[in-house]
Amino acid sequence: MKRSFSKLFVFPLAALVLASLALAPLAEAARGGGGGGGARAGGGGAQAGGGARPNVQPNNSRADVGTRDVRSTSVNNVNVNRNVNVNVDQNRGNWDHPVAAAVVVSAVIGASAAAVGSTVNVIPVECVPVYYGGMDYQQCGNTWYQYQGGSTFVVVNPPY
Amino acid sequence: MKVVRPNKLRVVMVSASSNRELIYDGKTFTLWTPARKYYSTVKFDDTLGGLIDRLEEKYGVQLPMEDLFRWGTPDAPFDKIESAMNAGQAFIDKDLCDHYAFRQGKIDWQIWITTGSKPLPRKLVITNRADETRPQSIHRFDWNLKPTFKDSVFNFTAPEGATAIEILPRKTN
Repeated sequence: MKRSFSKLFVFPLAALVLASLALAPLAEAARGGGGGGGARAGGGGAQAGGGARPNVQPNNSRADVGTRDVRSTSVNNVNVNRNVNVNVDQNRGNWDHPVAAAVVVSAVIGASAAAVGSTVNVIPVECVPVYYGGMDYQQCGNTWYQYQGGSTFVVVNPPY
Repeated sequence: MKVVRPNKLRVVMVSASSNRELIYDGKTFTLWTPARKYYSTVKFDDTLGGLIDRLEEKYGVQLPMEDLFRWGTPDAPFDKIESAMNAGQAFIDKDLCDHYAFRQGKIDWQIWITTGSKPLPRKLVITNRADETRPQSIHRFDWNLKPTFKDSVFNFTAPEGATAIEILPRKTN
Protein backbone atom coordinates (compact mmCIF):
# COMPACT_ATOMS: atom_id res chain seq x y z
CA MET A 1 0.00 0.00 0.00
CA LYS A 2 2.72 2.38 0.99
CA ARG A 3 4.79 1.57 -2.06
CA SER A 4 2.03 2.02 -4.58
CA PHE A 5 1.18 5.40 -3.09
CA SER A 6 4.71 6.76 -3.61
CA LYS A 7 4.69 5.50 -7.20
CA LEU A 8 1.50 7.36 -7.86
CA PHE A 9 3.04 10.48 -6.49
CA VAL A 10 6.04 10.33 -8.80
CA PHE A 11 4.01 10.45 -11.97
CA PRO A 12 2.36 13.84 -11.55
CA LEU A 13 5.72 15.34 -10.60
CA ALA A 14 7.26 14.13 -13.83
CA ALA A 15 4.35 15.53 -15.75
CA LEU A 16 4.91 18.88 -14.11
CA VAL A 17 8.55 18.94 -15.13
CA LEU A 18 7.61 18.08 -18.69
CA ALA A 19 5.01 20.76 -18.73
CA SER A 20 7.43 23.43 -17.63
CA LEU A 21 9.92 22.37 -20.29
CA ALA A 22 7.24 22.64 -22.91
CA LEU A 23 6.27 26.10 -21.73
CA ALA A 24 9.69 27.67 -22.14
CA PRO A 25 9.98 27.53 -25.94
CA LEU A 26 6.37 28.61 -26.25
CA ALA A 27 7.04 31.80 -24.34
CA GLU A 28 10.10 32.45 -26.41
CA ALA A 29 8.22 32.04 -29.64
CA ALA A 30 5.63 34.50 -28.49
CA ARG A 31 8.27 37.09 -27.68
CA GLY A 32 10.04 36.64 -30.99
CA GLY A 33 6.82 37.05 -32.88
CA GLY A 34 6.14 40.31 -31.15
CA GLY A 35 9.51 41.74 -31.96
CA GLY A 36 10.03 40.96 -35.57
CA GLY A 37 6.59 40.04 -36.73
CA GLY A 38 5.58 43.45 -38.01
CA ALA A 39 5.88 42.48 -41.62
CA ARG A 40 3.92 39.32 -41.18
CA ALA A 41 1.14 40.94 -39.21
CA GLY A 42 0.79 43.57 -41.88
CA GLY A 43 0.65 40.96 -44.58
CA GLY A 44 -2.16 39.19 -42.80
CA GLY A 45 -4.14 42.38 -42.66
CA ALA A 46 -3.64 42.86 -46.36
CA GLN A 47 -5.05 39.49 -47.17
CA ALA A 48 -8.00 39.87 -44.89
CA GLY A 49 -9.13 42.85 -46.93
CA GLY A 50 -9.45 40.75 -50.08
CA GLY A 51 -12.90 39.50 -50.86
CA ALA A 52 -13.40 38.03 -54.32
CA ARG A 53 -10.05 37.46 -55.96
CA PRO A 54 -9.17 38.01 -59.58
CA ASN A 55 -7.67 35.06 -61.40
CA VAL A 56 -4.04 35.91 -60.75
CA GLN A 57 -1.60 34.35 -58.35
CA PRO A 58 0.93 36.14 -56.17
CA ASN A 59 4.44 35.51 -57.35
CA ASN A 60 6.88 35.35 -54.50
CA SER A 61 9.87 34.08 -56.42
CA ARG A 62 11.60 37.44 -56.16
CA ALA A 63 10.93 37.85 -52.46
CA ASP A 64 13.93 37.99 -50.21
CA VAL A 65 14.85 34.91 -48.24
CA GLY A 66 14.04 36.76 -45.05
CA THR A 67 10.38 36.79 -45.99
CA ARG A 68 10.11 33.14 -45.02
CA ASP A 69 11.45 33.78 -41.58
CA VAL A 70 10.73 37.33 -40.62
CA ARG A 71 11.49 36.67 -36.99
CA SER A 72 15.18 35.89 -37.31
CA THR A 73 16.06 38.00 -40.32
CA SER A 74 13.82 41.00 -40.23
CA VAL A 75 16.87 43.12 -40.92
CA ASN A 76 18.34 42.29 -44.31
CA ASN A 77 21.44 43.92 -45.61
CA VAL A 78 19.90 45.04 -48.82
CA ASN A 79 21.77 47.63 -50.78
CA VAL A 80 19.07 50.17 -51.48
CA ASN A 81 20.05 52.18 -54.51
CA ARG A 82 16.90 54.09 -55.10
CA ASN A 83 14.95 54.46 -51.94
CA VAL A 84 12.19 56.67 -50.70
CA ASN A 85 11.64 58.39 -47.46
CA VAL A 86 8.66 58.25 -45.23
CA ASN A 87 8.35 61.00 -42.75
CA VAL A 88 6.85 58.95 -40.02
CA ASP A 89 6.92 61.54 -37.34
CA GLN A 90 3.19 61.91 -37.23
CA ASN A 91 2.45 61.62 -33.58
CA ARG A 92 3.04 65.11 -32.39
CA GLY A 93 0.11 66.82 -34.10
CA ASN A 94 -3.19 67.62 -32.51
CA TRP A 95 -5.23 66.60 -35.48
CA ASP A 96 -7.56 64.17 -33.91
CA HIS A 97 -6.96 64.11 -30.23
CA PRO A 98 -8.30 67.21 -28.55
CA VAL A 99 -10.02 64.98 -26.02
CA ALA A 100 -6.86 63.07 -25.28
CA ALA A 101 -5.13 66.36 -24.68
CA ALA A 102 -7.96 67.39 -22.39
CA VAL A 103 -7.63 64.23 -20.35
CA VAL A 104 -4.19 65.28 -19.22
CA VAL A 105 -5.47 67.35 -16.37
CA SER A 106 -2.92 69.74 -15.05
CA ALA A 107 -2.06 69.13 -11.43
CA VAL A 108 -2.22 72.73 -10.35
CA ILE A 109 -5.05 74.82 -11.62
CA GLY A 110 -4.89 78.53 -11.15
CA ALA A 111 -7.66 80.14 -9.18
CA SER A 112 -9.07 81.90 -12.21
CA ALA A 113 -8.62 79.15 -14.82
CA ALA A 114 -11.36 76.66 -15.49
CA ALA A 115 -10.56 72.99 -14.84
CA VAL A 116 -9.14 71.21 -17.85
CA GLY A 117 -11.64 68.65 -19.07
CA SER A 118 -14.68 70.48 -17.77
CA THR A 119 -17.33 71.49 -20.25
CA VAL A 120 -19.44 74.58 -20.59
CA ASN A 121 -22.28 75.65 -22.84
CA VAL A 122 -21.44 79.32 -22.79
CA ILE A 123 -17.93 80.67 -23.13
CA PRO A 124 -16.84 84.09 -21.84
CA VAL A 125 -17.40 87.02 -24.17
CA GLU A 126 -13.71 87.88 -24.30
CA CYS A 127 -12.88 84.60 -26.01
CA VAL A 128 -11.19 84.85 -29.39
CA PRO A 129 -11.35 82.04 -31.93
CA VAL A 130 -7.94 81.08 -33.29
CA TYR A 131 -6.31 78.24 -35.19
CA TYR A 132 -3.29 76.66 -33.62
CA GLY A 133 -1.59 73.57 -35.00
CA GLY A 134 -4.47 73.12 -37.40
CA MET A 135 -7.14 72.99 -34.68
CA ASP A 136 -9.59 75.72 -33.85
CA TYR A 137 -9.74 76.96 -30.28
CA GLN A 138 -11.49 79.61 -28.28
CA GLN A 139 -8.79 81.43 -26.41
CA CYS A 140 -9.94 83.29 -23.32
CA GLY A 141 -6.89 84.65 -21.57
CA ASN A 142 -5.14 81.61 -20.14
CA THR A 143 -8.12 79.35 -20.65
CA TRP A 144 -8.51 77.51 -23.92
CA TYR A 145 -11.67 75.81 -25.12
CA GLN A 146 -12.37 73.43 -27.94
CA TYR A 147 -15.71 73.01 -29.59
CA GLN A 148 -17.29 69.65 -28.84
CA GLY A 149 -20.40 69.78 -31.02
CA GLY A 150 -23.83 71.04 -30.14
CA SER A 151 -23.31 73.99 -27.84
CA THR A 152 -20.62 72.31 -25.77
CA PHE A 153 -17.06 73.50 -25.27
CA VAL A 154 -14.41 71.64 -23.31
CA VAL A 155 -11.55 73.25 -21.43
CA VAL A 156 -8.24 71.97 -22.79
CA ASN A 157 -4.63 72.44 -21.87
CA PRO A 158 -3.18 75.49 -23.60
CA PRO A 159 -1.62 74.19 -26.82
CA TYR A 160 1.57 76.13 -26.16
CA MET B 1 -8.23 64.28 -51.04
CA LYS B 2 -8.36 65.95 -54.44
CA VAL B 3 -5.03 66.85 -55.97
CA VAL B 4 -3.68 68.37 -59.14
CA ARG B 5 0.08 68.35 -59.15
CA PRO B 6 2.11 70.40 -58.70
CA ASN B 7 0.16 72.97 -56.71
CA LYS B 8 -3.53 72.31 -56.16
CA LEU B 9 -5.11 70.46 -53.27
CA ARG B 10 -8.31 69.97 -51.35
CA VAL B 11 -8.28 67.69 -48.35
CA VAL B 12 -11.40 66.89 -46.38
CA MET B 13 -10.61 65.49 -42.96
CA VAL B 14 -13.45 63.86 -41.11
CA SER B 15 -13.00 62.47 -37.63
CA ALA B 16 -15.17 61.83 -34.62
CA SER B 17 -14.05 65.06 -33.03
CA SER B 18 -13.92 67.53 -35.87
CA ASN B 19 -14.24 68.12 -39.58
CA ARG B 20 -11.79 70.35 -41.37
CA GLU B 21 -10.74 71.13 -44.88
CA LEU B 22 -7.44 72.25 -46.33
CA ILE B 23 -7.75 74.07 -49.62
CA TYR B 24 -4.93 75.32 -51.83
CA ASP B 25 -5.23 76.74 -55.32
CA GLY B 26 -1.56 77.51 -55.90
CA LYS B 27 -1.91 81.03 -54.50
CA THR B 28 -3.95 80.91 -51.32
CA PHE B 29 -4.08 78.30 -48.62
CA THR B 30 -7.25 78.05 -46.56
CA LEU B 31 -8.02 76.16 -43.39
CA TRP B 32 -11.80 75.77 -43.11
CA THR B 33 -13.89 74.41 -40.25
CA PRO B 34 -17.44 74.01 -41.61
CA ALA B 35 -19.04 73.23 -38.25
CA ARG B 36 -17.95 76.56 -36.80
CA LYS B 37 -17.82 78.45 -40.08
CA TYR B 38 -14.31 79.53 -39.26
CA TYR B 39 -11.61 79.93 -41.82
CA SER B 40 -8.13 81.31 -42.15
CA THR B 41 -6.28 82.11 -45.33
CA VAL B 42 -2.57 82.41 -45.97
CA LYS B 43 -0.95 83.65 -49.15
CA PHE B 44 1.39 81.10 -50.55
CA ASP B 45 3.14 80.39 -53.80
CA ASP B 46 4.89 77.08 -54.14
CA THR B 47 4.44 73.44 -54.95
CA LEU B 48 2.57 71.06 -52.66
CA GLY B 49 5.89 69.86 -51.22
CA GLY B 50 6.79 73.44 -50.35
CA LEU B 51 3.35 74.04 -48.89
CA ILE B 52 3.64 71.00 -46.67
CA ASP B 53 7.01 72.08 -45.32
CA ARG B 54 5.83 75.61 -44.68
CA LEU B 55 2.61 74.57 -42.96
CA GLU B 56 4.46 72.24 -40.67
CA GLU B 57 7.33 74.56 -39.90
CA LYS B 58 5.41 77.78 -39.42
CA TYR B 59 1.97 76.68 -38.25
CA GLY B 60 2.42 73.16 -36.96
CA VAL B 61 -0.23 71.99 -39.42
CA GLN B 62 0.29 68.49 -40.74
CA LEU B 63 -1.29 67.07 -43.84
CA PRO B 64 -2.50 63.51 -43.73
CA MET B 65 -0.22 61.26 -45.74
CA GLU B 66 2.06 64.08 -46.69
CA ASP B 67 4.71 61.63 -47.85
CA LEU B 68 2.62 61.03 -50.94
CA PHE B 69 3.68 64.46 -52.10
CA ARG B 70 7.37 63.91 -51.52
CA TRP B 71 7.85 60.48 -53.03
CA GLY B 72 9.24 60.67 -56.53
CA THR B 73 10.40 64.27 -56.10
CA PRO B 74 13.86 65.62 -55.29
CA ASP B 75 12.51 66.39 -51.80
CA ALA B 76 12.46 62.72 -50.86
CA PRO B 77 15.65 62.15 -48.86
CA PHE B 78 17.37 59.04 -50.18
CA ASP B 79 19.67 58.42 -47.27
CA LYS B 80 17.38 57.56 -44.35
CA ILE B 81 16.70 53.90 -45.01
CA GLU B 82 18.91 51.45 -43.17
CA SER B 83 17.60 48.22 -44.55
CA ALA B 84 14.96 47.00 -46.93
CA MET B 85 13.30 43.77 -47.85
CA ASN B 86 11.23 42.61 -50.77
CA ALA B 87 8.49 40.72 -48.95
CA GLY B 88 6.91 39.22 -52.03
CA GLN B 89 3.41 39.83 -53.29
CA ALA B 90 0.02 40.10 -51.68
CA PHE B 91 -3.47 41.25 -52.52
CA ILE B 92 -4.84 44.56 -51.36
CA ASP B 93 -8.51 44.32 -52.21
CA LYS B 94 -8.39 43.00 -55.77
CA ASP B 95 -5.03 44.48 -56.66
CA LEU B 96 -1.95 42.32 -56.72
CA CYS B 97 0.77 44.31 -54.97
CA ASP B 98 4.48 44.14 -54.35
CA HIS B 99 5.17 44.26 -50.65
CA TYR B 100 8.30 45.94 -49.32
CA ALA B 101 9.48 46.43 -45.75
CA PHE B 102 11.91 49.12 -44.64
CA ARG B 103 13.71 50.04 -41.47
CA GLN B 104 14.76 53.57 -40.53
CA GLY B 105 16.08 53.97 -37.02
CA LYS B 106 13.27 53.08 -34.61
CA ILE B 107 10.69 53.08 -37.37
CA ASP B 108 9.70 50.13 -39.51
CA TRP B 109 7.44 50.71 -42.45
CA GLN B 110 5.88 48.57 -45.10
CA ILE B 111 4.32 49.48 -48.35
CA TRP B 112 2.18 47.60 -50.84
CA ILE B 113 2.45 48.92 -54.40
CA THR B 114 0.25 47.72 -57.22
CA THR B 115 2.13 45.40 -59.55
CA GLY B 116 2.17 46.32 -63.21
CA SER B 117 1.81 49.48 -65.26
CA LYS B 118 0.14 51.62 -62.56
CA PRO B 119 2.41 51.29 -59.55
CA LEU B 120 0.37 53.17 -56.95
CA PRO B 121 0.72 52.72 -53.20
CA ARG B 122 -2.30 50.84 -51.86
CA LYS B 123 -1.37 50.30 -48.26
CA LEU B 124 1.14 51.69 -45.81
CA VAL B 125 1.90 50.40 -42.32
CA ILE B 126 4.20 52.29 -40.00
CA THR B 127 5.42 50.69 -36.80
CA ASN B 128 7.18 52.60 -34.05
CA ARG B 129 9.79 50.35 -32.48
CA ALA B 130 10.84 53.00 -29.96
CA ASP B 131 7.78 52.10 -27.90
CA GLU B 132 7.63 48.58 -26.55
CA THR B 133 3.95 48.33 -27.42
CA ARG B 134 4.89 48.79 -31.09
CA PRO B 135 2.17 51.25 -32.01
CA GLN B 136 1.19 51.08 -35.66
CA SER B 137 -0.60 53.28 -38.07
CA ILE B 138 -2.24 51.64 -41.03
CA HIS B 139 -3.27 53.51 -44.15
CA ARG B 140 -5.23 52.24 -47.11
CA PHE B 141 -5.34 54.13 -50.39
CA ASP B 142 -8.08 54.05 -52.97
CA TRP B 143 -7.24 55.87 -56.17
CA ASN B 144 -9.54 57.49 -58.66
CA LEU B 145 -7.48 57.84 -61.82
CA LYS B 146 -10.31 59.44 -63.79
CA PRO B 147 -11.46 62.21 -61.48
CA THR B 148 -14.29 64.40 -62.66
CA PHE B 149 -13.89 67.41 -60.38
CA LYS B 150 -13.27 70.88 -61.75
CA ASP B 151 -10.44 73.21 -60.80
CA SER B 152 -12.94 75.31 -58.89
CA VAL B 153 -12.84 72.81 -56.04
CA PHE B 154 -9.45 74.28 -55.20
CA ASN B 155 -10.85 77.78 -54.72
CA PHE B 156 -12.32 78.82 -51.43
CA THR B 157 -15.02 81.44 -51.19
CA ALA B 158 -16.17 82.15 -47.69
CA PRO B 159 -19.85 81.28 -47.34
CA GLU B 160 -22.23 83.77 -45.84
CA GLY B 161 -21.89 83.97 -42.07
CA ALA B 162 -18.33 82.61 -42.09
CA THR B 163 -15.76 84.25 -39.83
CA ALA B 164 -12.13 84.77 -40.70
CA ILE B 165 -10.03 83.91 -37.66
CA GLU B 166 -6.36 84.22 -36.95
CA ILE B 167 -4.01 81.30 -37.53
CA LEU B 168 -1.32 81.50 -34.88
CA PRO B 169 2.26 80.67 -35.82
CA ARG B 170 3.67 77.67 -34.04
CA LYS B 171 5.42 78.62 -30.83
CA THR B 172 8.81 77.08 -30.33
CA ASN B 173 9.64 76.18 -26.79
